[in-house]
Amino acid sequence: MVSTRIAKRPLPSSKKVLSTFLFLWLASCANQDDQFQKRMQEILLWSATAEMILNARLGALVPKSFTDLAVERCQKQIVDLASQLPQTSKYAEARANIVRLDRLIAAADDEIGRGRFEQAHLHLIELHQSAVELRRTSGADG
Amino acid sequence: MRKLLQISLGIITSVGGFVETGQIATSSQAGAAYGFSLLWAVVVGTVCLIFLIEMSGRFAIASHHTVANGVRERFGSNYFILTLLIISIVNLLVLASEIGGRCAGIAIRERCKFSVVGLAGCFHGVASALERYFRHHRERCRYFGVGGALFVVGALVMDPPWAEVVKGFVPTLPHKDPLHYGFIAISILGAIISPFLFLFYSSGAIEEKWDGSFFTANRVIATIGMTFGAVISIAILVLAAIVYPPLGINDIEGYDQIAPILTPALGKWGFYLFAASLGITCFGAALEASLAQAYMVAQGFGWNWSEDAKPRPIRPSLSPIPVSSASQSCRSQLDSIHFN
Repeated sequence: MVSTRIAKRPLPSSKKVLSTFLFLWLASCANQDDQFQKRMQEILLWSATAEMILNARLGALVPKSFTDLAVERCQKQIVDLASQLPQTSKYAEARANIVRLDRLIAAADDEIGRGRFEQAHLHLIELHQSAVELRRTSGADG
Repeated sequence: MRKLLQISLGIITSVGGFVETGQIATSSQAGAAYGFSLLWAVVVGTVCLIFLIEMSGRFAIASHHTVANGVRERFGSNYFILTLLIISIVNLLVLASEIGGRCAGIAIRERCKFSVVGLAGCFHGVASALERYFRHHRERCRYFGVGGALFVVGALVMDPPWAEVVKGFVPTLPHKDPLHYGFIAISILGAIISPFLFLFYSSGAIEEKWDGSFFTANRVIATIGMTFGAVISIAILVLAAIVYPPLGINDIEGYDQIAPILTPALGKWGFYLFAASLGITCFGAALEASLAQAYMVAQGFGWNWSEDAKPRPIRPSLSPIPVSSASQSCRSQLDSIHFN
């Protein structure tokens, strides 16, 4: 009799612990996703800035020294923000895509510096497409 | 004829103080993030500023005293010192941002790192503000606002969707991030309503010896001058709304991003003209903020102040003055000053 009563009785402490743990886990996941989207928006902002400046340089609308400094700042911001992304396997693909964005920016800048504008233009098209794809897949489009 | 000339100069001076680094930054941020929907904030800020400027001018004409004099006389020395402290902090922040803006202008134009020109820019700004002959600079800073007219040309060349622009003058709720929207709206108001503008204006009215015949001229200068300034701010916001969102840039975090704002409209020249107008407008605003601060201190303590007054030679003193007796002396000096 006694054992039956005990078995039927709810276990408040373990339930509370479990629900608290579940709540915290869900909250941390949501927080991680929010943080990821916010960082992705910032990364895409700097990528778009680099693209704007490189396109302007391609049209000889801005001087080389300004382009170099501004692109250097964009790349630094992208790397800094990427390092703040959650280091879990869930976001590994996004991190790989960000590295690709950074390489494309560096490649376009390098090609412009060497005077190979055709190649630079192709890199910039690829950069734009990659950014659009990353914006869509990461949910950073709003 | 003299009055017409003074009205014209007053309008240009007003524009010179209105357009500065804070204006350029906040208008660009608003345009990039929310398109034309924050244009109403510029209008609200401008209307408030027109009233403040007009009232300070009217006060100066009617009482033959500046705003600083009036505050001290009406509310006493304690209240004046508190006001002076608060306005000094605000002016210091404004001055720092203007020097920063001027440095950014030089850095963009001279093609070197911001940090390299930072120190030089600071020295240049401070030295300029402390120039012995204020008159020389005051005359020059009248014309600095004209640099902002480039933004209006740029906005017209870009041919914005006018129906959307007109809708932006009606306050609406944002489609995203209301907190950020509110922050930008308040930033726009803060950038427009700077205390140095009306302090400088009332000092100007006294220096130019405005009398009762200048009441109408005062209204005209306050209204047209600030409206011209607002048109430049609106042009920057419109340009940002046209240029940035299609490129995926919906936030502005530095002058690197703002620098090419005129290139779609004006091509290669747009970049250099932006750098020049940023430097020029910030220099003009830095001078006005410095002069307004110096004037306010001098007016409040009853010292001689004027762009025409020659500075008294400084006699070095070796005996240190105790802080308490210096403070007591200031207080008694303030209390003894009254309107004539």
